[in-house]
Amino acid sequence: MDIDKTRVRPYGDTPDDGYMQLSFTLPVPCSDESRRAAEILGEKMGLEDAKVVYSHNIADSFSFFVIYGRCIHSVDMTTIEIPKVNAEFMPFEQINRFIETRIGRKIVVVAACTGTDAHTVGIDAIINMKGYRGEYGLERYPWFTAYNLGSQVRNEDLLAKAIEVDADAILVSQVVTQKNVHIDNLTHLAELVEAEGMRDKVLLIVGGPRISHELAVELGYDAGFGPGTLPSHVGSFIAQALARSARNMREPTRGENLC
Amino acid sequence: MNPSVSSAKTAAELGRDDTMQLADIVISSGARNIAVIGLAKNTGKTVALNAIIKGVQASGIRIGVASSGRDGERLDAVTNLPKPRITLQKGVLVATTEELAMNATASLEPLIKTKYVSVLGRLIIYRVSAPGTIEVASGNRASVVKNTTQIMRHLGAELVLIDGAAGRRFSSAPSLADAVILSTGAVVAPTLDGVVARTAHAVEILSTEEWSSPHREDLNPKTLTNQDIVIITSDAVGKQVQNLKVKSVLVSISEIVRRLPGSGNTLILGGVLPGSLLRDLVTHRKAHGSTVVVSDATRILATYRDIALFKSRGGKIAVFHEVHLAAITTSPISPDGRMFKADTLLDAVAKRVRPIPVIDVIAGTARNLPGHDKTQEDKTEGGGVA
Amino acid sequence: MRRLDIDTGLVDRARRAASLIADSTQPIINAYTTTSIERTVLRLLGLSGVDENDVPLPNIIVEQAQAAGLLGDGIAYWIGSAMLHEGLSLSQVAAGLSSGKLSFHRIPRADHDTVRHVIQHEATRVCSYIKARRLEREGLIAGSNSTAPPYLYVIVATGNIYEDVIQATAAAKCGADIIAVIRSTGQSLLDYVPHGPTTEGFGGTYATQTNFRIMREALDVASKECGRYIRLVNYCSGLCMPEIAAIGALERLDMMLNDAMYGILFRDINMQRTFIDQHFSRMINAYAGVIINTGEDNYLTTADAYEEAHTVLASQFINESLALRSGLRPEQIGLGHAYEMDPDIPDGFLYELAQAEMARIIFPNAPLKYMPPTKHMTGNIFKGHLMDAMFNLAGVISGQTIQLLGVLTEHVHTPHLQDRYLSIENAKYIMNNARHLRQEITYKKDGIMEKRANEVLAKATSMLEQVAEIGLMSAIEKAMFASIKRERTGGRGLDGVITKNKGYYNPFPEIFMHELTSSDFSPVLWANQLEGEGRGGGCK
Repeated sequence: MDIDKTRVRPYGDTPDDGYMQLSFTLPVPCSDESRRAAEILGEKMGLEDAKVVYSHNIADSFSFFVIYGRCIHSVDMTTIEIPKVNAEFMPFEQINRFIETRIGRKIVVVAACTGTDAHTVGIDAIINMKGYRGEYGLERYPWFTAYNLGSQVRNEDLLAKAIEVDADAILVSQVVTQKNVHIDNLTHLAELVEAEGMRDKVLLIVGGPRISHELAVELGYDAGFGPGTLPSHVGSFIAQALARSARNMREPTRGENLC
Repeated sequence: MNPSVSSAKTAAELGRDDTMQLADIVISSGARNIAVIGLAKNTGKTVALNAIIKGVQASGIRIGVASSGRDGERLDAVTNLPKPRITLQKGVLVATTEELAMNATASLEPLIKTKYVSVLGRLIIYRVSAPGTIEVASGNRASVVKNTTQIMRHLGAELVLIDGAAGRRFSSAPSLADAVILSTGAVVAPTLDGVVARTAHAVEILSTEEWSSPHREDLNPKTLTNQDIVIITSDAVGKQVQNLKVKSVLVSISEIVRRLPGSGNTLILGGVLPGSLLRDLVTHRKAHGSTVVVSDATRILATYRDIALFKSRGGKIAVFHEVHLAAITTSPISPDGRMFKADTLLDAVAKRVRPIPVIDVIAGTARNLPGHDKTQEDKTEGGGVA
Repeated sequence: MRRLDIDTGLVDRARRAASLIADSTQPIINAYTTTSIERTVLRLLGLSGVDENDVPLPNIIVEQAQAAGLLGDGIAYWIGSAMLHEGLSLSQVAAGLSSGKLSFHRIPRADHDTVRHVIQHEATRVCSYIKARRLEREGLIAGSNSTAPPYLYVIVATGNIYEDVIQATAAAKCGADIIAVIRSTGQSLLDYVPHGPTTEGFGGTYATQTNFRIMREALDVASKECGRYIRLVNYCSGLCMPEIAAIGALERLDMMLNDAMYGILFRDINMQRTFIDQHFSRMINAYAGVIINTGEDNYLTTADAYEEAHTVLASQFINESLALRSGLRPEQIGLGHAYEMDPDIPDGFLYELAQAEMARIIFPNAPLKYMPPTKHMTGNIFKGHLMDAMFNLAGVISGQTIQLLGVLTEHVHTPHLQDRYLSIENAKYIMNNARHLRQEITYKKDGIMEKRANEVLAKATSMLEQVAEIGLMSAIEKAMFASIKRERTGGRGLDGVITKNKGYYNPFPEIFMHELTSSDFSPVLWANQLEGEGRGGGCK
């Protein structure tokens, strides 16, 4: 199928038909008027022929809608640039060899779900022995020492542990968030690390389904890992970043003069 | 602070736009490194930065622009909403990465290639050779920001502007900036009272006063690291200075509290001041008359609640180096569509932070301007008619 | 009807071991009190409120007594002494102490018997109030329509109690039977109970007495409209376990999350503190007719649900044994377990169902609390909705009592209003459609399910026997639970553990236990007492 990458539209059952479904709740009782309101809302969102296919009262004062419509918008995918984590991904064996030869000691990692988040699934997948999708977690790597502190860890406690064990990297996971509290929480951790004078001594890494690398860097992190990240991705990044910073130590501070 | 009253008046008379006052405040502060920080994302930092750039460029001062986050990007990384762009005139120095420079409409001449590589490419100092927009990202940690501003100064920048990242405050440290602009706005809290309270709390923390004590001469703050915890006790017997040497205050809070002989002593922290330390001092009745000293206000990472509790029990917090808060900007609009009446927010914030100048960067109105005391008082009482 | 054939010999051995394990904590419970227990005594005696810095008065007074080294006598003794010496009422004494007009240093020791006489009077009064609230609940239950278990349990978590009320009322009208207000994150680590109505929390709403009252009143209105009694749940865990139990008892909460080991393992709260606190908090819950919910699901959030299933069962036995020692009736002990196996395991549903049936058979009278898939929810809301449906089917077939409904957007955000509506609709559909399937089913002798249940039981029994041999605290020190290692003197809150003096006085345990051990203590918990199922097996 020939797809014009400059005009990508949803595919229902024929190219470019634009079909989408969405569901939402309006804070008014279900009626002919509220159904129409839902359709108008769909149209305002750029859905042609927005049709309510299901509506139902929730608790007398709310109404739930499922809507289908044809999206009139298209996206030019050729202009999209997403900053990606700066690393060449290596497999398990290669990462270990890399650390052995380039760093020459075990890398220490401290990980936790911080703040409000009780969902350890992400951090467990990256750290725990068992790993994720058939890949071992960092605990299993002979050249990593990993501490998984679990969920709802306070930023102060996470940093304390990192200092205690002389960690090379701090991994924070933020899975479920509400009203963007993860932003405040991640900001606080970055501030804490900086204020403690540790920012140049430790890699700060964040992961989670709503975390982009871009956001992570903006908040002061070295890397942000989104959905689908495997332990080897994180392992590769940490190993290479540490090797790089070890090399940087030997470079002059002022950098290279281009004048 | 020695504001130039005449220049402030002139700017106010020439244009109706009081945002130009920001540049005047910046220039008259005599500061060479100015940090613009925000209480959160979307508080109008970039708008404030643009106003300063515009005003300072007009005055002929050579400026350098750096960002500790990312500025002038097209879309917000969280809300995906459009953001204000940054436009630079010829001659301005700017620190940004290779990749972002490629997308700039401004023409750029590379001057120095730094050793720093971020996700967005290598950090380079450019000179603008033809005006246009540009996205600025110059490194997200203190050491990089410090190095970058030093290089720009070395290359001839007379005034370096450091834009902050999201809600981060580290760039306001006196080691990086000698004056600070704080941005606040509707996005900070759902209610007007909430915005005003949070702003006032942040101002209170940022304005923490210098430690003035005869003991100060015993210590060189520059030599302190996060492993230094110094306890100074003075009683009838005399003065005693003791350095505990720990791995970090965070690891040793209970030990520190235990080793503090009682209330009324001074505790100097080489690193961060965490909330749990303040709470523990209160719990163990060691707050009264005690002073906790840190390098500067960016080291205070306790919540306002913890600080207020500590202070209410007779504790004091002081710094070696004060932050100079030159102005506050307000934005009455939040990206989720919430909006306050501009003057209501401006007046409410101005009243709480007096005498710090407050400028609404969206409406272009100002309060607490130096030399405008009388008029501004009238304005406030008259309901803040611009 | 024949269900799974479970080795009753193993069940007896496991219970015996759990009983020994519970005994191993008793010396600590007898020898110490805690700052939170003493604050609870003050709260029960009617003291609430905060000073100008929002510090709760019970904290201020207990801290003063602790600093003066007097807490080992029990705060009740010293409050009584102050009342006698100053000729003041209890609230006047409290006001005097918190304002600094009175000082523990200047209060002389009063005669023990006289103090007891004065305090007993106050204590009895508040106990009759708590009992009246229990009877009020029983009246409301009796006057409402009976629905059949599993009872639908949903969560609200907006951070703002007034917003919570809107969401909870909507959920009740959609068919929820039980509403849990999730606490603000980190509250379990606060060594005080916040005060007043609160509108800003993180990931949940602060548990305060006022918030309890606001929600209870709203749910009473909703109960009337719905014709069913809507139950309210909060969290009796963390550093303020007994205090939360007390305010819950005063405000007629119906259920409390109240696990004996959760705080130790997952919140790093000191184990001595926790064992002492849980004992008193459960006594209050028992007296108030509260159903406790234990937190065994937590064992599976980090560990593999198939491999570690026996740790859930072992913890259930221990929770049961400890709870019985606090005077809780088996009908009040809502033991927890969860549907958390990897959905890719072949026959996973059979294993889940086997374990759910096993729990039902081993704890026939417990109002079992069954928790939904969370770990393997992915953001694919469509598959998630199906997984929740399978979980609901397992719940209705195995006769669970409390079904914590899964939400299709688990792993995405805290539930939106429509998410909760969809999950209630899912549960109602399945539980109505398969209502009596349970009575029609027998399982194959020596089949996959029977083998699985007995395998889990055997592993749990052997684990319990190992723990019993070295004692519960040593076992935790050896990381035998959830692979988490905690030291006897580590964790938060040890500084609040106080040795009881010889004349230690707390008026409440005696009053509570007198009632709890009397033969006519039998709180009415559900409307369908006669139907049996869901109050416990009854159909084995």
